Amino acid sequence: MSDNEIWTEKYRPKRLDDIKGQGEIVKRLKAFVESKNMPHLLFAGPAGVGKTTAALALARELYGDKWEQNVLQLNASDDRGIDVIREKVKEFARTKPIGNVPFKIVFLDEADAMTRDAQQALRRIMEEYSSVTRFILACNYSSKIIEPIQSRTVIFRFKQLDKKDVFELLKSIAEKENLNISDDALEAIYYISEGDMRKSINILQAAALYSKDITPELIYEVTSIAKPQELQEVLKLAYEGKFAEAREKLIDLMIKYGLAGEDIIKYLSKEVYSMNIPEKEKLDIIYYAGEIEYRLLEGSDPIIQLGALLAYIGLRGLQNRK
Amino acid sequence: MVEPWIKKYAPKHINEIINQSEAIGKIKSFIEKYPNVNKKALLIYGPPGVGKTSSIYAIANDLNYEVVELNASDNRNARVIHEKLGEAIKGKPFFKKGRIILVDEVDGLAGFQDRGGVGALAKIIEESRWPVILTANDPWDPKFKKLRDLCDMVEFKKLSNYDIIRQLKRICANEKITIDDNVLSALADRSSGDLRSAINDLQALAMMSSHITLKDLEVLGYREREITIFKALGQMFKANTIMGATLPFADVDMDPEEIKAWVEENISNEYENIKEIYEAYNWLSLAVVFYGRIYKRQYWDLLKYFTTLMYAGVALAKEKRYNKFTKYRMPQYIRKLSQNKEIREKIEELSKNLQKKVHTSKHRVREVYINTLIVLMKENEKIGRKYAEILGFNENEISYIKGAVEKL
Repeated sequence: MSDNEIWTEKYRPKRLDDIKGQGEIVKRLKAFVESKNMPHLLFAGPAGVGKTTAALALARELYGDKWEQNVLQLNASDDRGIDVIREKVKEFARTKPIGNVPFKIVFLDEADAMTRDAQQALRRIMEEYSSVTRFILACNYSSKIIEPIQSRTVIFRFKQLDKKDVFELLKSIAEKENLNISDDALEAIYYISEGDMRKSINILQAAALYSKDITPELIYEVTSIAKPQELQEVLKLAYEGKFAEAREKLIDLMIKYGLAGEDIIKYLSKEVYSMNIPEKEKLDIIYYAGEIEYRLLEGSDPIIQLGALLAYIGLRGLQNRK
Repeated sequence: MVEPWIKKYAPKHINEIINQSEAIGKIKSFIEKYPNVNKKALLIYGPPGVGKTSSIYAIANDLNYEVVELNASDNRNARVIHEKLGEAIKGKPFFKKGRIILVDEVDGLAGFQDRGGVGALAKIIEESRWPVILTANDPWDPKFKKLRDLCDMVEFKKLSNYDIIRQLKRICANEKITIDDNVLSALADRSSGDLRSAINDLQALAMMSSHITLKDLEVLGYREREITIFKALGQMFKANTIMGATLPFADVDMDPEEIKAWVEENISNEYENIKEIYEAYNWLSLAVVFYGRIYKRQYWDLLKYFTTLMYAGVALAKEKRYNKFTKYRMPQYIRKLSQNKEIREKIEELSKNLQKKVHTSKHRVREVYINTLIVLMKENEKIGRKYAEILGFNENEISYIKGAVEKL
């Protein structure tokens, strides 16, 4: 019956108390529920650590089963244009909140995707409707939010989840779904998702479609990242000076897994640590990888930038052999 | 007047249709079982030039059916659709066993939806006593949702180079033309799976000579660009001065932004020493950074720095000139990458509902769910389908995703 649900939703914590790893924030949010009052909020933090979950749980506890009528969820990166947002907010704020809380909530996700001008306009919208609504803005980096908005909101910084928290959550899901999950498999999920719970749970669900026994091999099988071995192979070829082969292989990986240059260079530089070469060599390569990641941001064109990195690794290999 | 070969060599019988047996089976059984069918119409989709329309005629011919066609050249608002097809869907043919109502290229007409076209078609499908078949290149446009729901979907696959070459050879034999094998594969390459365009090209070449060589391809216009860029690359890689490296590109009718991919593709093709390769790449990489700045500021006066760093940086990276013949390649990955991107974007278009359900942005939906969906579909169809169901895609959408993923 329940096996047709999306687990990231099924296991999304419904109550503030169920949210893991964000203790201080939860405490403050509960105080808002208690007093049925809150300021505008700005949730900052990486993806998949509970920002949306916290906003939804807060709404649930404030409004009970009427929460959906009292919350407008918008996405700054999708709802193109500030006018669209203004229209939607206006429409939403026209009616009174249902229940005994004196305001409604507008949850605006990915607010840092907005341009500065759009943020200025947003600020005015927030002021216009502040008597009947409270805004919760979510973003990855609060530094990308303009000062006037920052000063009008209370900023909550969500922490990256600890490995311990992620493991605990995954284990409890595994138990409820009758899965056997090895510690290595948990490590593999963490390696791929880097503490992003949405990714972690989704990977677990995908793997569980294959088997009740979750192994690291299975985890890599169901994720769209190049396996560490494949990346090691690229680095090894490059270090041995087999540039053309390394390049070919890298392009194949990008196409096979649909990876952007930025993803590839992140995975590659992570793999440099485990290369079988002197530590000082690694440091040089990591420095150049950083330079290349920067150039990628400035000028794009992943094939050229990554080609330069592979060639540099080849050059280091050559000098080391001499 | 010369008969167009695409007409002359269109399949007359089912067994002459190339490599679409699965689709043909479905269409044939739909026509024969009609009206005892799952959905009352078929929507046939696939890239241009793979035989969608001609197959219908071949099938009709073999089954002794007639075809009543409404095509892109007809105006297709509600009134026209009703006038042209209103009678056909009711009456009986005089000489044939049955009738097929064919609405060709439903996606071909702008504004079709606004003028009641979709509604009128839906009515035709509902009331017809004969099988209705629609064709489209891209049926996934949201405005066709209503039509999709009324139809069973049948996909026509892109043809392989092998399929195309085989067919061109058959035509050449019949027309008594001799043709070099490399011309055949060049024509097939160009067509990217579109047999109609390949046959058209072949006929154009055959009008000039009965022995076709690679040289003749220039006439079709599309070789020239490549010949000049190959020449320029050759001169650049051999050059020892900045001027010598940059001048050859003056005659190339291509944007420097496009040329950079050609340069990149051929660095390790020309240079053999890793030190040279590194130096060439490092210059190219810096040049691209420069280009990024120019682009951001729209400061095109600075473009000369980009091109100089690129051409001269790569040329002067060598320790000494290679005295060898290098066969330069055209960039391979660009086409692959952009094709990849296009397919992914189509799949994402279908995921609006999912986005709401999981409370997040398009970007995150792609990163987390769509990527997983693609991987699962590729690895194991059964599991991929199961996962797609969980995400809430319907059957038509799942079949489309399956097909799209195969092309990745």
